[in-house]
Amino acid sequence: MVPHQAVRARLATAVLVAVTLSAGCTTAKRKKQEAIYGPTESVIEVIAVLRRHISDDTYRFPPPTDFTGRNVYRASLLRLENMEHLHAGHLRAGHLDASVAFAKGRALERLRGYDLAAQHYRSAATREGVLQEPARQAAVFCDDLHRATALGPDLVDPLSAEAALPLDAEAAVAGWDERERRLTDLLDRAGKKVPVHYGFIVKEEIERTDVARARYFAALRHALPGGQVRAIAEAQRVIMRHAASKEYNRHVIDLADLYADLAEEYVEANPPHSLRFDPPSFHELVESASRLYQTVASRDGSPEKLEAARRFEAFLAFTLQVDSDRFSQ
Amino acid sequence: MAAATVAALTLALVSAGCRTPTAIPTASLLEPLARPVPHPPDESDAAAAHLAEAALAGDTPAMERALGQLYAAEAERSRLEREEAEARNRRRGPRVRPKVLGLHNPPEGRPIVPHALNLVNSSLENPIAYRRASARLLLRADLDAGLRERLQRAVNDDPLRLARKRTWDTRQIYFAHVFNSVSAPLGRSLVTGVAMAPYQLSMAVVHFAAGLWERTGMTVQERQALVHRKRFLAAHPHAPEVPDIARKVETSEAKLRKLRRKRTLERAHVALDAHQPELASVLAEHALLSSPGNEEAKRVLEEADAQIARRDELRARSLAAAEDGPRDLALAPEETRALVESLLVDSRELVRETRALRRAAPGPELRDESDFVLALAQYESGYESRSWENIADLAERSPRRSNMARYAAALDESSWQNPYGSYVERKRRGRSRSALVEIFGRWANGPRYRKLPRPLAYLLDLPAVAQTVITTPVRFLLTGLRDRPDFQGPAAVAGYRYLALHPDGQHSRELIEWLFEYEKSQKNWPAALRLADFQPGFDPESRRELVEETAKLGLQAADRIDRPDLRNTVLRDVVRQYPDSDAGYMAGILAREEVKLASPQRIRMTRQFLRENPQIAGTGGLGLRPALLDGELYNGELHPTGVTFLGGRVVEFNLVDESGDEENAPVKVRHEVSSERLARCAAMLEETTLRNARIDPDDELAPDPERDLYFERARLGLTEDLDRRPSAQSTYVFEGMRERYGMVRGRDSILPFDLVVTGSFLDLSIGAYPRWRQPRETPDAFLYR
Repeated sequence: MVPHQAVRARLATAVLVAVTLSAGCTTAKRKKQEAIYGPTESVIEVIAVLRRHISDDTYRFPPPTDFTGRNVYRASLLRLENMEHLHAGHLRAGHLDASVAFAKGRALERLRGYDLAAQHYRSAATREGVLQEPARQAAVFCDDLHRATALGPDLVDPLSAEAALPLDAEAAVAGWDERERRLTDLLDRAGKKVPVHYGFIVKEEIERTDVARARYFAALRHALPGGQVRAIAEAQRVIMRHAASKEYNRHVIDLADLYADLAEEYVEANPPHSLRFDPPSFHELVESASRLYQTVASRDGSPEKLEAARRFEAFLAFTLQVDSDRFSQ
Repeated sequence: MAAATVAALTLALVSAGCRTPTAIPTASLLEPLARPVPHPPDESDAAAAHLAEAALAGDTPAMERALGQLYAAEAERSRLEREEAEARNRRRGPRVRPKVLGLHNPPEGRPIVPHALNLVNSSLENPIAYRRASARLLLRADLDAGLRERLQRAVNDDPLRLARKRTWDTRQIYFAHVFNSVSAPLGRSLVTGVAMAPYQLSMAVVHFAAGLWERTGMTVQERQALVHRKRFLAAHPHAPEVPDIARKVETSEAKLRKLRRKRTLERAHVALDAHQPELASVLAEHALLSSPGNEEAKRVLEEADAQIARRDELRARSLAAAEDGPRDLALAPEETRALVESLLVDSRELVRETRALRRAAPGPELRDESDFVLALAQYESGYESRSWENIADLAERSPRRSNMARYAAALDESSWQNPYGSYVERKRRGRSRSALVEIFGRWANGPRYRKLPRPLAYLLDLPAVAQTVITTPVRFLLTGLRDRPDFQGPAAVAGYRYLALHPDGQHSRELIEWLFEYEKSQKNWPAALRLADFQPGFDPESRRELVEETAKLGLQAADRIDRPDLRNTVLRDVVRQYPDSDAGYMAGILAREEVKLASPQRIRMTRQFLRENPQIAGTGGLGLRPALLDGELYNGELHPTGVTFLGGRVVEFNLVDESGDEENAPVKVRHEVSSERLARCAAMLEETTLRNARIDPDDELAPDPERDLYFERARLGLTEDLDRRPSAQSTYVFEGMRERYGMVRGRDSILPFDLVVTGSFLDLSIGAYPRWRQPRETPDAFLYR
C-alpha cells in the first residue's frame, strides 16, 4: 500500500470509529431515557409512591411531582386506572381491587374530586379488611367536603358558556359563610377521626373560598356600591388569612394587579392632562401596586418572583404615559 | 508686664464688645407687597392686544395689520427713547446709561416684537413652516434668553433633524469603536514597552473583528432614526423629501426585520439547548411569520416538534402498565396485598410486611420496591438521614434494571421533598462557583464573545484568562475590600425550606447556625436576629448588638420613605420591637417629632436659593425683609435652611439663633400669610424656576406633582381647605445652584476624547491613551432596545 493510501485508510477508520461511537452514545442515551419512562411494573410501585406523598402539606408547599414532572396524585391515579384497564383480572385475583379503589380515592381527594373519591372509598368499604373502616370514614368526610364546597358561588370558569356571577352579594356572602362554617367543622375533624392530611385539603378549600369571594367582589366592583373598597378589602383579607399558604405570593400579586387595574382605570377616567386628575390619588394607587409587586419580586426561590418583577416593570412602563408633572416615581 | 496684661485685657474686652449678638427679629419678617402701578395702555399695548385677538381667531390679515401697528409703535418708542437718552447724555455726560422710558415698557428689557413675531409664526399650520420661521427668528439679536431657548427647542424638534443627529451618533459610535480599539493597546504598549506593540495591536485587530461579528446589526440610535423618519412621513405625507425618506425607512425596516428574526432564532436555539421545545417552537413560528421561507426557522421548528412528540410519547409510556401484568402479584400476591394495605392505612407494620414480601420473593424482581418502602418507613420513623441515603442509593441504580430508581431520583433531586440534600448540593455548588470566580474572574461566566464558536471564543480570551489566573493571589489579598456576589443564596433558600418542612428535624440545629452566619454575612440583621432567637444559650451581648443593628436598619428604612404616615408606622414599629436599643430610642424621638411638627406640606426654599433669586424673596414675591438675607447677624438672618411652606397659608421661617452659629438648629417662626402674598410668591417661584430651567439645563426643576398641585391651589387662593392626605405632601427643596454644584460647575471637555491613564494590580497593566467619547444616549433610548 502506498503511503498516502495508508493515511487515507487510517483516516477513514478514525472517522468510522468516531461515527460509531457517537451513534452508540446517542443510542445508549435514548435507551436510558426509554427505561426511565418505562411502564409501571408493579402495584407496590404506584402505591408506595402515593403513600410517600399522602401526608404532604399541599396547603403550605407545592404539590409533589414525579419524574415526568406531573402531579404525583394525578400520575398515580392515571397509572392505577391504566393498570385496572389492562390487568383487572390480576387485580381481582389478588384481591387488590379494594386497595386500588382506596388508593384512587386518596389520589382523587387531592385533585378536588371529592364526590368521585367518596364513591371509590365506598367501593373499598364493601370488602372486609383493614381498609374497610378507614374507607367508610373517608367516604363520609369526602361527601361532607363535596357538599360544603358546593355552597356559595365558586371561581368562574371563563370559558364556560353558563358562567355567570350572581348579582345578589348578600346571598353570595351567606353561601360562603356557610361553606366556611362547614369547612371549619371538617378541619376540626382532621387528625382525630380522619388522617391529618385532610386538614391540608380543608385549608386549601377555605383558601379557595376566600379567593372566590375576593374574585367575586373584584369582578363586581363597578356594579356594587363601594365596590372598589370592598374588592381591595377582600383581596387583603385573603393575604392576611393565608400568610402560610403556598399561594401567598400569588395572592399578593393579585392585590397588586387590582391596584394596577385601578390605576389604569383612573387614568382612563381622568386623563393626566385633564383638570380632574388628582396626583395624590394616582400616586397612592401606584405606590400600593409597586410596593406589592416589589415584595414578591424580592422573594428568592419562587416562580412568582419572575412574574412579579416583569409585571412591576410593565406597570412602570404604563406610568410613563402620565406626564411627569402629574406623576413622578 | 503689667502694661501688657492691661493691653491684653483691653483687647479682649474690645473684641467681646465688637462681637454683635445675633438678633431674633421680633417685628414682622415680611414687608408690604409692592403694588403694580396701573398705567393707561399705549399704542404698543393696543397693537399687542389686537394681534393676540387676531391670532386666536386665526385672522391672518388682521394679524398683519396688528403687527404693522406694533412695528410702528415700537419704532416710535425707540425713537423717543433715543431722543431722551441723547438729551440726558447732553445734560449729564455720555457715561450715564440711558433710562428706559415707558409709557409702557416690556419688563426687564424684553422687546415685544420677537414675541409678536413668534405669535404670528405659531399660527402657521404646517410644523415645517413654523420651524423654518422660528429658525429665521432666531437670527434676530433682540431675543431674550427664554424665548431664544424655546425657539431653539422648537427648531430642534424636527424629525428629520433628529434622525440625522441619531445617524451621526451611530457613525460616531463606530468611529469611537475603531479609534479606541487602536489607541488603547498602543497607549498601553508605549508605557509598558514598545516590544509588545505588534502583539497588542494584532490582538486589538482580532478583538475588533470579533466585536464586529458580535454586533447586533442595528444600533439603538439607528432605530431611533428610523422612528423619527416614520414620524416625519406620517406628519408630512406630501413633503418633497418623502420619496427619499421613504426609501431610507424601507431599508432600515428590512434591516430591523432581519435583526429581529436573527435574535428570535438565537433565542429559539437557546431554548432547544435548554430542553424547552415549546418555547423554541413558538419562536421558530414567529420567525417564519416574518420570513415564511426561512430554512433555519424551519429546521428549528422541525427539531422542536420532534422533541415535543418524543417527550409526549415517553410521558404517555410512563403511565402505561407493563403488558405482562404486575409482577408483584405474580410473585407474591398475598404479601403484596398485605403490604399495599399497610401502605394505604398509615400502618406501623410496613417493615414487617416488607420483610414478608422479601421472604416470599427473594429474587431481585421486587428488591427495588421493598428498598423504597423500607426507606419510606425509615423516613416516617424519624431516621431522616438514613432514609435519604437509601433513597440516594436507589436513585443511582440503572433505570434499565430498577423501576424505582426514577422515583427515588425525582425525590432526591426535588428541593421541596429533599431540602437538606438540596441545601448540601447548593452549598457545594456555591463554593465551587466562588472558587471559580476567584480564580477566573469575569471569565468564569464564559468567554466574551458568545456568538463565536466556543473554542475560538475561548482562544481569543486565552491571554486575558491566563493573566487573570496569574493574578489570583492579588485578588485574594483584596478579597475583603471588594463586594462579592452572594453565591450561597440558593443554599439559604433550601435551608429555609427545610426549616419550614421540619422545624424540629434532624438537621434543624445545623441549618439554623449556618443560616445565622449566612444572614450575618449578608448584613440581613432582622433575619440573623430571628435565627439567633432559635439558638438556645445565644450570647446576650451578641444579641444586643444584633438588636441594635436591626433597629438601625429600621431607622434607615424609615428615612428612605417619603410618605409621613408610612414613615411614622415604620418608626413606631422600630420603637415597639426594639425599645431597649439606641436606634429604637431615636426612632421614638423621631416619631414623636414627626407628630408634633406634622404639617400638610413641607416645601422649602433654602437661603441660598432666595439669594440667587431675589425676585422671589422680594416684594413682587414673598416680600421677605431684605435684612434677613443681607448676611448681617445683628439685624437678624435667615438660617441656611430657609423658608418652608407648611400647607394652607402657613409659612415657617427658619432664623439663625442667638449664638449666630449656623450649624445650630434654627429658630422657627410661623406666620400665616395672606392669600395674595402666597399666590404671588407661588407664581413668582414657578415663573422663575421654569425660566431658569429653560435657560440653564443644569438648573432643572425636578418633577413633583404634589408641589405643583399645592402651588396651583395657592395661585387660585384655594389653600383654605387643607389637603391632609399623606400622599399629597411634598417635601421638595428649592436649592441654590451653589448648593447643588459648589463654587464651580463641572463642564464637559471641548475635546471629543478623554485622556485615560489606567493601571491595574489585578492584570498588571498600565497605560495612557486617548479614548474617543461615545455620544450620550437620549433619555428615551431604553424604548428602542
